[in-house]
Amino acid sequence: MQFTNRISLVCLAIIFALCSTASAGNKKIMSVRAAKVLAERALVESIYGFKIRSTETVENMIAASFKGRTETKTNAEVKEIKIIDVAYDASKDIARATAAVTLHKFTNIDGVEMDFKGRTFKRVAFATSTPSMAGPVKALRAAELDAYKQLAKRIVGFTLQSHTTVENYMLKSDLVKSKVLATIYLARVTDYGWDENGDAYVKMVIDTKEVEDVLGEKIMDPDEVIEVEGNGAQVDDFSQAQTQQASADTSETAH
Amino acid sequence: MSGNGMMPRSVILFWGALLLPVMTGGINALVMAGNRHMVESSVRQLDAINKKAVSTIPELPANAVVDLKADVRYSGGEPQIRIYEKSVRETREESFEFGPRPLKAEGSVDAVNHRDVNGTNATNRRNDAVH
Repeated sequence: MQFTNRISLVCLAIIFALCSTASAGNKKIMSVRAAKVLAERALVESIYGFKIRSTETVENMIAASFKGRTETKTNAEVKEIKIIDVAYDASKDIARATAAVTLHKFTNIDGVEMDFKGRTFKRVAFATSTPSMAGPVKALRAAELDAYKQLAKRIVGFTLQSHTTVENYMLKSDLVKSKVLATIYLARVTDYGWDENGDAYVKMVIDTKEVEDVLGEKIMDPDEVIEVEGNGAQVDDFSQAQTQQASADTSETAH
Repeated sequence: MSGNGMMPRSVILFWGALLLPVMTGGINALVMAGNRHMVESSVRQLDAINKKAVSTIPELPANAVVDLKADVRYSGGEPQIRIYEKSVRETREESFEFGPRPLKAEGSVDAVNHRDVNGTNATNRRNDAVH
């Protein structure tokens, strides 16, 4: 029995040794590299801009029928971007990278030449190479996209399509769809983080006065500062609720 | 530690070390919130904006079906709705008395209403069947 115990202890030591050797490998390098790429993308989205398309549909005002989709697309090469800060949390395998760029004249996604007069832009991004640790990172990106969508809605507006029944002067929204299609640039992140529940938030601002200065042309509401807060979750409890509702409906029909 | 039928301490420590992170991870997952309240908030916003859009339609009937398309833009933080396509169909609810009623003579209002596509009517066909 003592011999068996010793063998199990030796095996345990070997397993832990192997694990620690493996984790000291390329995990950190991969996470840091991903964080750098994501920080660069965030900077390109801020300066060059991006296209955003978002649709939301809801039937009978039941949250279970809600379908929301947001897509962004950008493609630009900004040569002057530098990674000015990199940090790595070894216990969680999460890397943080800060990208920065100082620009003068620059042409944005709409082909409009902007004069930044030597202004420096910075963006931070997080990444991990461990799938079980991806939750907070994904939630932060979801919050970022939500903030972009809200900015697009506020600046460009959106189209609303609905089919509504009115009964005895009471409105019932039967089917409501909203669509946004826009290009966004010069959005600044003012704050970001995670709340105590693990949900992420990203606060963004577009200062129309600043945009006016950069573009060199008058825009509507020049003194307006548009501030939004995007949210993103780690856990998809909405889909879980949908599945539970669907199975409850099925069993009810069966009875 | 040896041969008394109890589990050796090293084995307990081994499994304890292995299971602790799994257990705490499970608790963390339970504590974490999700996207459900975010979806519910979006649904409420869509409902509110649609109700606002429909309520701008003048002389809206008490019972109707409304289809609309609108542009929504924000000014001073408030949504400004411009409806560019709309259709309002009034829906009337009529009451009727369900049940058997005495047949009326040919040429009466009910007989005319019962006339089918062939030009005959339900009363005549029933009489033919009897003869």
